[in-house]
Amino acid sequence: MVLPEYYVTLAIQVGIYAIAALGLNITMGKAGQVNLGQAAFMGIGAMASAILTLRLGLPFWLALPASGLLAGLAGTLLGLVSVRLRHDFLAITTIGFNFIVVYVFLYYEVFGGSYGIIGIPRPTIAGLELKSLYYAILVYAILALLMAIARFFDKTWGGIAFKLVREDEEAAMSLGVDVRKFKIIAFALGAAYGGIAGSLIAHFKTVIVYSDFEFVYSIMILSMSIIGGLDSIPGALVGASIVILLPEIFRPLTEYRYIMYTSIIAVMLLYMPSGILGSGSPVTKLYRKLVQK
Amino acid sequence: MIDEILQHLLSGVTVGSIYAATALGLTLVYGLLKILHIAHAGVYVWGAYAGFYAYTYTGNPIVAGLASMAVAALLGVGIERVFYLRLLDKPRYVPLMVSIALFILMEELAANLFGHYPKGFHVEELPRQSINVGGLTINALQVVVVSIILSAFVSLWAILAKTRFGIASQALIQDMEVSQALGVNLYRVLDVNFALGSALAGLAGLIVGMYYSSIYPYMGNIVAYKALVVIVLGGFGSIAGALLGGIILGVSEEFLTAYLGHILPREAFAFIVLVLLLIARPQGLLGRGE
Repeated sequence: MVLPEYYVTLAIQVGIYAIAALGLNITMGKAGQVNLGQAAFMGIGAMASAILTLRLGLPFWLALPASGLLAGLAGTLLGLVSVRLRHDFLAITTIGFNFIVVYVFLYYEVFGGSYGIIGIPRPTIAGLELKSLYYAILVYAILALLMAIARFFDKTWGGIAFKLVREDEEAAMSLGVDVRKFKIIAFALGAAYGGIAGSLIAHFKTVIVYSDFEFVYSIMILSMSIIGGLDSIPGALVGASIVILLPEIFRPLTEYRYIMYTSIIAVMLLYMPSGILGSGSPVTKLYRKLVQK
Repeated sequence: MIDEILQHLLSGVTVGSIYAATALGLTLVYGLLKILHIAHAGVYVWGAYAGFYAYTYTGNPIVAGLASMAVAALLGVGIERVFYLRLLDKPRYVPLMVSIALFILMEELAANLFGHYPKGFHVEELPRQSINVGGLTINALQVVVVSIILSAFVSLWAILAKTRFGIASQALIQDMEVSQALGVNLYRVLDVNFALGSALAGLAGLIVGMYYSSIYPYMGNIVAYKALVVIVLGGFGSIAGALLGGIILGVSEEFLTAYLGHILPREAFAFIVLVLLLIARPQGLLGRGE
């Protein structure tokens, strides 16, 4: 079967952004730490992967985990800052972080400046270039793996600690949860997911430029997370599909896509704050009712 | 050398006073509702466009200023009524995200309605000459900008410090429940605060457009986040702090760009200053903690 290239491209984009949104769901939805700079972590992963493969000649298969690690490291740094900050101050810092990262990409030649980095190689298996449908399979395999990891983590002591940190820090501390440690883990984990998404987008588009990771993209990823439900793991994929596919289905929307993202965020937060698959949403309640019967 | 420093100081103060004007509404709103009102920068953009069209049709800069302030005040009160008042009992990140969404929404609407590209904005009435005082070049326009903003600040300060309305605001900032029980009308005070802060932001948008002779839909981008830096520097809810914070930011940016501009672009310094400041003093420069 040969799928038209257009659908494959869309599917790949949905998969990649679902990974980034999943990372945001871990940091924000599960652990309750506001992060308005997820696009910056994608950028760090993308630039790292591009430089590692192009300039240092590493294979994609090493560059992919390395970019996740590097973004995770950056997330750890932001996490170290975050433990000192609360609420709005943390939100402002993550916005500032996004801006600084983008300026660094623009200002330094290593990151290609305003032209970006071109000619990023596609991954190969035994000399065979992975593109189109094969790349889509790779993306969804990684997404499935990362979802499984997120789900596993959620079921362990770590997931419970995240919930405690999110709901009530003082209570968490009194129960012996190291709040500091889990906040840093939340940032590191979410950022690493972002970095992996970045690496995947770099090797998919083969061209990346600083403006692909600007603050509006953080808002786009955020709108995916909110639509799907911030504390839901499959929600990330649902949110990414809706946000990416809506402007494709309703062509005229393409020009007004930012208007769409932002209206969705405003309306959803007012009337349906837990998103489509979040724990308080009507869909989830209905599903639970059906399953329990 | 000393001339050069004074020159940087002068332009730093001019830019800083504009930052201060945009941050004032933010600081008023944060003091009352504890919401970071990012959409304020959208109000600033729409104020600039309202002034631009008013000037284009009437040719009168005073009418333009009034139009900017009126449109901005209406938008500010609208955002408060339609969104913020309904979000007060939600987790703190919810109104913040709504506000960011509204900001981008307002910018994009402006871009789609008025065009994505900058519009030239030449106001004939503005003085363009400059005078030379002992090697220091003072641009008449800079004097106009700084004095308009300073007089707006002084009148706002007078309103908030000397009138019944001002006392009511202060009471609400101190303790919302008790002052409402004592008969302060929360909603009226909020309306007036939003209207005043937004009007000043609209005026600032117009002044920036006149100062740089152009306006564009994304002119609020940088301002949105710099206003945050300003209120962190100056302390939340403080008018004098907003003025001080704006000028500190304007001046330090000017010097950092002049001497370290080869390392990073101008716009990055504000965020670096912000992030470093928040790490060192998480409650803000003048804040006293929670």
